[in-house]
Amino acid sequence: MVYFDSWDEFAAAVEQLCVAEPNRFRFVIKYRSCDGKLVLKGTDDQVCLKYRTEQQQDLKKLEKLNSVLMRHTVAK
Amino acid sequence: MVLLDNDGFLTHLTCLLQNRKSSGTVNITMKRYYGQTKPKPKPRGAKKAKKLTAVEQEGESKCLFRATDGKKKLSTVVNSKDVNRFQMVSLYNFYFVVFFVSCSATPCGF
Repeated sequence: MVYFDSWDEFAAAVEQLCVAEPNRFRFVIKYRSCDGKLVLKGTDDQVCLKYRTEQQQDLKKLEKLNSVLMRHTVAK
Repeated sequence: MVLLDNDGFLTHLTCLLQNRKSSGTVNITMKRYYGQTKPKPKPRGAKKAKKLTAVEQEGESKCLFRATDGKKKLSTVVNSKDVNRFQMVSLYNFYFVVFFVSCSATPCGF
């Protein structure tokens, strides 16, 4: 799977997938401290959306996305 | 798999991240969880595949968090009413560990 280039595209796609397949959707944050790399993945085992970053400002956006996803996850 | 309460999970997660500061990766997964403790029966036929089990229908949807560094496993279940609180703490913690804890921090004993 190709990595997304833009955060906005990635965030929109992940949110859409989360709403469409809430029972199968999972969101994975992989952090490699020694390289300072962060890889984000959202998948429902059919579609896989990935994004990677080394920038600190993306953490703020991740925080926002994560809260949105959590709210979708607990919503019936 | 160690199932912890929300605060315990965050404490241990912080330690996990600190211990993996100089090498290795840490994986954090988030997914929906209904409180099902038994494996889901294998679907037979197209109709059954889409059906949810009894627990899934009745149970309140929760948020399951897992974290691992390849050796240690942590997990926690966040109830819907705790979502906002957990959110604030978790990312603050993550942010803190990732960028502001100095590399000289001693490994935690957890």
